[in-house]
Amino acid sequence: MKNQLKVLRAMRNWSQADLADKLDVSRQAVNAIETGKHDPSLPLAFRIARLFDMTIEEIFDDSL
Amino acid sequence: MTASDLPTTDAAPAAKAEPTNGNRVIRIIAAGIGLIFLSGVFVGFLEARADDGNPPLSVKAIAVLTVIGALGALCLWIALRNSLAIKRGVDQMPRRERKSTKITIVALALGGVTGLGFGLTQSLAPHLIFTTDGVVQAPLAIIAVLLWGVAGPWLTNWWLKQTDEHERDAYVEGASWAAHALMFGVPVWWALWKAGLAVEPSAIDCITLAILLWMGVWMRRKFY
Repeated sequence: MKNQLKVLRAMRNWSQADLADKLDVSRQAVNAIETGKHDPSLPLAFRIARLFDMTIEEIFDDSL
Repeated sequence: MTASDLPTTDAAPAAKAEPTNGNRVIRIIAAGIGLIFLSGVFVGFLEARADDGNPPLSVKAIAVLTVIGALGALCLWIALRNSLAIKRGVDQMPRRERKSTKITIVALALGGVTGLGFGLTQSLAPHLIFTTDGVVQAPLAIIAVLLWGVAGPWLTNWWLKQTDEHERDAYVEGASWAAHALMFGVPVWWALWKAGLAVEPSAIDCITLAILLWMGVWMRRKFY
């Protein structure tokens, strides 16, 4: 699934490890989400949205 | 700024030459398999020598033993060097990854040490494992049951609760591959054996192959 995670992270000057710590996941998980290899669960998607103070739809694009 | 303007990972350019933890884990597993293989060769050599009445070591035998020893030392060095590199990196990991990695290291060390210990004892001092009737000593059987039937599942369950959803998915995908390989592979092997086209299926070989497949899928999904 396409998403804005990498852009949002870069705008805040966070490393993948920084974001992983804030989301309580591994760095590999952040990398997999950013590259579209892993679709986050609904609870993790909500945590991401809350962290960036955005809606899930603003971060993730489920259009084919 | 768009996602395509940014690098895929946040690794510094200079760090690109450094192996990933996935590569390090693969190297440690390969070194462990190498050590088990070399232990088997060494035990085979000792058994063959004992069958010949323990003659004095020839130059050729000393050369072979030296090569086995050197390769064993190389495997140990690879395992130790990569383990220390992972340990150094563990302290910088995010909290959940750090905890999950520590449990994984404990489980791998426990499994590796006990497996190698049992294997070597079985070859070098079988009387410590088997009775004169060829039956496994009861205390050892109880230890094996406690390790594989209690500690293993407990450790796995604890780890599954500590790890994050990405690694849990990778682990479950590996488990699915392993289960399917057993479900389809064992009957095929059995049929080939019944037709005289293969050796008799071995439970230990099936479990070993399933575990290797499981770990391969798990590591690939986690790191690549």
